[in-house]
Amino acid sequence: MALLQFSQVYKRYPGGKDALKGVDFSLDAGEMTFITGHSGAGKSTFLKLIAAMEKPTRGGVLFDHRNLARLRRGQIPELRRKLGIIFQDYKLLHDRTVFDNVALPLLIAGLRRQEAAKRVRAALDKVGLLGKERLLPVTLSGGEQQRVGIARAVVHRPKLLLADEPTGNLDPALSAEIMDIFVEFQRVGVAVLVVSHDLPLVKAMGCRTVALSDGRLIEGLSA
Amino acid sequence: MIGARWLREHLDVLVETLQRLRQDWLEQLLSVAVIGISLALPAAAYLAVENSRSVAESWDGSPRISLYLDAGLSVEKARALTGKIDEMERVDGARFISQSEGLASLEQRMQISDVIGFLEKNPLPHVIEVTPVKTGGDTLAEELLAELGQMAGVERARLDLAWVKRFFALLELAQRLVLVLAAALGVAVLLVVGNTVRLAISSRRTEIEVCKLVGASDAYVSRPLLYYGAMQGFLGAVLAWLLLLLTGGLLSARVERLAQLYESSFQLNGLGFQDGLVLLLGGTLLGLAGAALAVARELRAIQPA
Repeated sequence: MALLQFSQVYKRYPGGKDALKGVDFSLDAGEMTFITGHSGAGKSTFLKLIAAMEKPTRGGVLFDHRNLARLRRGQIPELRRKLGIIFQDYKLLHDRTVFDNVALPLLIAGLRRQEAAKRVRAALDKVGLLGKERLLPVTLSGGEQQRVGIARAVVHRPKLLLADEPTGNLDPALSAEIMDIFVEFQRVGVAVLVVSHDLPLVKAMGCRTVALSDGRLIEGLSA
Repeated sequence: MIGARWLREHLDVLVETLQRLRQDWLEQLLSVAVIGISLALPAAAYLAVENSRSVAESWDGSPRISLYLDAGLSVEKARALTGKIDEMERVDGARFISQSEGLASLEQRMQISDVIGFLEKNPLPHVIEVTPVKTGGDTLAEELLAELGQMAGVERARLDLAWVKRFFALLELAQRLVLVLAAALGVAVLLVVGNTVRLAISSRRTEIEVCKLVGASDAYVSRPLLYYGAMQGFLGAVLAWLLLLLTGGLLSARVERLAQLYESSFQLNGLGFQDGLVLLLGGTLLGLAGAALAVARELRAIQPA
């Protein structure tokens, strides 16, 4: 049974731009897949539909047996707690420590700080940032900030990890490190969906790859 | 179980809000001061009305007729007249105040014995103070006034009622004005808190977006903002109370001296404990409402994109 299922999904923005034109896609639990494509090909829209930041104009997006097209406003937080989202610009809170940034999803889910502490440290350990909990994000390098973002995305053990150009601002060595971290999560059963236009890196990973081109999805590494 | 978790989450937010308030206390001080003054003004006006009422109530509300007697009338004849009036059916009591008693009381009250020493003879007439029977009401008092004015030996009769009535009518008007003032300044508090919370929302826009992206509900995001507004209202009310205490302290000695001059034991009444609690509660609720208005308007618009 697929964890994520797009069936004939269309998305038209106000103003008439068609971002997605009949996309079919499915992702199994614990599967890792890359999405490539030029800018404007609909990658961002694709992710926004999964995170319920947008609703499809037509078609269904099924995640964890739930049709996201029919989600009510009040049900969105519950959906997002099953996701871990990683952003190109990290989206860290700069007035909070690394620890507080990573703990955020746990505290939002209602955990006590003491309960959260253990899991926060475990997540920071996985991304190699243990010992930097008390620092503010600005004092970290770009690669380290992205790893804080990853720790925050996985700390609540999501079913699906979404990464939007996670290496967009990083050099090749750092990018490879980040990808290795994703592979480790996939090994422990987390589904991972990575949007990237870094074709050499994507090829090197040897995972399933799909390409978005002008709002349509094509299996395989096509340009 | 759920109750305990709910309580803990709210306590956490309360602590967090206090920390935030402490962080930029200087900015907070300004809006808290505006709220404090806005609350103190109607509260002070309320106290002024209440104090005036207690003064007015200490004057016997029943009408009283003063009879000023002919200048040539002897003390004996005046006493006889007092006795006669006291016997009358519609009179509750009549008190004779002789010329010399009147002067002595005036001297004592005004401390003007030097001036009076210059006078060759006492300029005051004898006075009879007549209290009409209480059951009669105003019409009876007025009839009595006409009748007593006609009596031999009475030069002039005056009914001391009209101005007490007028005073109470004025008080009622003042009370209404206090209500209007309180309503207007209450709206001002709503707007002030609404505005600070709106600013807080826009300065925390990224934070709110990120929280929503990692699964925060609207309730979770708005909770600290509501606490923030309520806390500002509460602090404003505390400030208002302090302002009232300060004003009361500055005025009470003067008021007591004034009261002594009028031979009254009147004391300025400050805000009582209960009224004070009402003030605190009212300020807090106004702050909460102001925040709720801002949150309802602004928060929905903030969606991660």
